[in-house]
Amino acid sequence: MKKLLILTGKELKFYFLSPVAYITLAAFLVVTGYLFYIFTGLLSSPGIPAAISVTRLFFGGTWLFWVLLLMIPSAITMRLFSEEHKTGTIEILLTSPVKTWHIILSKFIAGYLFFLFLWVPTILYVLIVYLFGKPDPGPIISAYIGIAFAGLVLISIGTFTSSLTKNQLVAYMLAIAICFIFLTIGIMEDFVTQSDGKAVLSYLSLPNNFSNFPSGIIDIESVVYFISLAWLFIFLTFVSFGRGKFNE
Amino acid sequence: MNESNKAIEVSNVSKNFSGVSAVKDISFAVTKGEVLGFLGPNGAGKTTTMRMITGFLSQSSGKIFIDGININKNPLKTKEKIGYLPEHVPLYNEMRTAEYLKFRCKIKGIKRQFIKRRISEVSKICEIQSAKRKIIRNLSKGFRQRVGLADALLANPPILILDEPTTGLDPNQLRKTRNIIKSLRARHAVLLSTHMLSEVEAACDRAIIINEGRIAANIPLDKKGKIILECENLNKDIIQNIKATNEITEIKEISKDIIEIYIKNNADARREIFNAVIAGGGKILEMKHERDSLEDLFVEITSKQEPQ
Repeated sequence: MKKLLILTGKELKFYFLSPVAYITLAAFLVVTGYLFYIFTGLLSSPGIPAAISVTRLFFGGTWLFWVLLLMIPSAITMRLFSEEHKTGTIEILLTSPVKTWHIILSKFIAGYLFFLFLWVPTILYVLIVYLFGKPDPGPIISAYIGIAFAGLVLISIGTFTSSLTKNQLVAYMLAIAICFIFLTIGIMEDFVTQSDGKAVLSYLSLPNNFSNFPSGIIDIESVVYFISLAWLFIFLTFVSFGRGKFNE
Repeated sequence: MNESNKAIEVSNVSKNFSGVSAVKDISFAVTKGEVLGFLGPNGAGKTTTMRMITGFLSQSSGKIFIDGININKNPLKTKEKIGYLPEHVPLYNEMRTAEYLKFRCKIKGIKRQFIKRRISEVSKICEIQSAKRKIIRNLSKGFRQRVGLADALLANPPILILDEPTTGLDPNQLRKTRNIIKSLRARHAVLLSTHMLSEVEAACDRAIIINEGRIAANIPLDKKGKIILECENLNKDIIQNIKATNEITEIKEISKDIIEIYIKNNADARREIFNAVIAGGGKILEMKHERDSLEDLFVEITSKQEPQ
């Protein structure tokens, strides 16, 4: 357990040693800031129904949000294993007296913590809203919880694709491709006539599972979806090492 | 099977990479306190074998024991016992040297209170004190190599596996690195791979030549060098006298007046032989000291098996 912490610490340190982290952070803040600006602007425009929730708009209300969730986590995770494969440092890591799953989990956890870290400055937007009104804190909190869950899946996908290649760009594109499937699979519903098929596709859709969170509903079914999908990709990372039998 | 004096034991190990076999049924052992040179042309399977011993690659068949422990049964335990310097010395380029070594100490489970002492000890051995605060990316090749070596030594492991530790170094760096390796032989079992035959001759107790995934030769290096002696009136007495001197291992009669005298490592028996011949009433026509060149042996073994 101690070694897991040491490894995670090293991964986190590397985030802040590389420029990618700062660029990702800056891009993220520009886009979320812009979204926040538009949506608060909508509140003051007369044509918009008064009942509309900025929280719902901001968190998953538009495709912009999903583009953000498509691009950003993949950028966070792309270097996790690719860089180690490319420079060969994976060899010193795997020949150290540490368990393989510690190495994998440490990278996943570090990526995930960085993902959460990106969202910390957005609390500022929430505080600004509180300066001017009294929104219900429940849906805001549950929306953040929803993002935390969605992040589990997106980061695990990126960790997995990063373990497959020594090329960061390939890892990035692969992660986007897989994330894209989970973000858009809900659209396929329209092409399926069977009701069972519809239900399966709907359950596999990431936005469908996320959509309840900004309304203040934490659905256990969705929580199971996020956690099991994240585990699946962490497990696949383990398999991609082809050495599960070695370090148990 | 697991005799206690064997630090590394490789038994009938093979490795296939998607159908292509890189290592074919290799068996050898490194005893404690021995420096074993691992020689072979590029692509012979040296690195693959070392990677299997260190647990970076899994073997397709066969067994590997580290200090009598099967690496597949308890990989964490065996990895603790090995200090490994991979080929091309991968290091975290973004880190500073001291920072990197500290991280490696923690990963290797060195207790917090010993970390500082251990780092300064290995830094001294590997002469990298001046690079402590430098970012690894900016280090020269020689320094990188020695930082890698320092890393391998950190936990004071009983076994060291060094994959081409001297490739690409300039003569000064080469000498430094070689001296470090020499100084290690007392406390560690060392498996050292290299192209440099002089290196093996200088630092190793034994050499294994590996070619096309097979062990082509296993040469103890204490029996090298010979003296060719041409002498008038060569008789049994003279040979008896020569045999009686200390440094001689074997005498071969080539012709009526020529014999080859095999001597022990680095010994110089020319004076004794001269005296022996004179005492036996012979007259020396020629005496030539010839070092048995590992290079000749290497070329002979590795080229004759190469398909032309």
